[in-house]
Amino acid sequence: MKKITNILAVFFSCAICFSQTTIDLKKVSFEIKNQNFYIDKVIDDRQELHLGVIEDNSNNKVKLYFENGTATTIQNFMDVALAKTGNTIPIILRLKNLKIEQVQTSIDERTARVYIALHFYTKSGEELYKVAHYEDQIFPESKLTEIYETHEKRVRAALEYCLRSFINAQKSNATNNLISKDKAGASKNSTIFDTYIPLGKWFNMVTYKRVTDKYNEGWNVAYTGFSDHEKEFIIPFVIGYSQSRAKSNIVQERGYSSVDSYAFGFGFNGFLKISPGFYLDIGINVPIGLEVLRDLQEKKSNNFLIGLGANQGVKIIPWKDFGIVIGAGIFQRWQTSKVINRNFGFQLELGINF
Amino acid sequence: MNTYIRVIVIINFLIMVMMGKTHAQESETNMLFNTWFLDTYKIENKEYPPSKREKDDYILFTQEMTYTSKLEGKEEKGSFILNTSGAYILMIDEKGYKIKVYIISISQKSLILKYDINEMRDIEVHYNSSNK
Repeated sequence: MKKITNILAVFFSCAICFSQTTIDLKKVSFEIKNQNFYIDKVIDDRQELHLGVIEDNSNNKVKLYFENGTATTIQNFMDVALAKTGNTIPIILRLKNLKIEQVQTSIDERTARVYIALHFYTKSGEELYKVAHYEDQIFPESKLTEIYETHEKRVRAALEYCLRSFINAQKSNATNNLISKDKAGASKNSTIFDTYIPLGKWFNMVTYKRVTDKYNEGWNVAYTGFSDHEKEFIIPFVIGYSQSRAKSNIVQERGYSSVDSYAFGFGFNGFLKISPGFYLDIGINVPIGLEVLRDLQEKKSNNFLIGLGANQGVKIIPWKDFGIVIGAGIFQRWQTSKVINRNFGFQLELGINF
Repeated sequence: MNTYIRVIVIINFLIMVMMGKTHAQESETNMLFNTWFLDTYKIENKEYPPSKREKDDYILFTQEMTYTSKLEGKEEKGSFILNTSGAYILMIDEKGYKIKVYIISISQKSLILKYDINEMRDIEVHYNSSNK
């Protein structure tokens, strides 16, 4: 029994090992003019000790840590950047947040981002300055290795940004230098603060739509890709194929026995996020295709089809990572049809997201 | 005595190397403070000349961390932040609009930039210094 427990312990510890990876910051110095302070101590105030969950070179999701711990790594970086000399003043840094992210943000691009929130204190514990900053970079979707290898560079850039921001705040408070020994009459602490909003998850959806109106019955299959946002209007990428058949007497009235239309649709839908998993769906698309007409003598003729369509509805995505998609809505369409130019109808949608 | 001289020589050498490194970093930063004239665009190893409207386009970076640029004949002023670790310049115009520009390479005579703008992300913009 003990043997089995040991084997299980080794197995699970290995599994944990495989789900973590470490990075380190390169020790590259940079020039800071008229430096009057150094970083005496870095305190990590974060609740979660990892830097984020990212995809490594082999597309596996891993938890990212600093090789030598976060506080030591940042301290080492600061020691190289800001040498301690006789006249420089000690500053305490408190790390409030540090997150590394990478997600697909468009059909062919991936955004890698570092978010940092740093507070600057005097040695006596007086808060001097607060800064939070996003350091982001956009890559082609395929460049996973380059993204992984440059996370450390973005952390260094974010740290440098915070230092320069603190130095600039000192300059703008020249008469009341933030870290001057004489603090009498000093203005209120300066603050540059971006609150943390996670990068939106990328959704892939394949959906089947049943479309009905007064004259036609049809279906549509579409791929939709979009980057989820909490506040912004979401513009997804949509590509689809639709097919419909005229069902009314209007076909005979116009001198045809049957009309079939085949169209590819290119366009953009706009999603407005009402609550997690619930979206208003507003779309405009341009169907391009072919209308195949058979007259009453069964003589076949083709008609080039181009048009403009609009739709309004709701889309429900109950499960974020993988699950079903349900949608319902109404649509309006104008197209170069020989039978019906203007149309209005209903659509029901079912699909999967992954 | 010989050992003493050797130690002195080694220490001197190390100090010179360290000073040289600092000077190199400083001079790389100082190189940016110049007027850079638009020379060419490069997309996937193919060079494209600037249009007629862009003929006299330039960017002047000053030590006071301000810039003056001419873009398609239109002059613009602002401030900039140089981020050495991220190898980029954050240009902030007078309206507060920010553009991140990556420094691909810099020398006394040449500056190669990539603008972090959707339409220009794959384009290298080559500038020549006024010393040309």
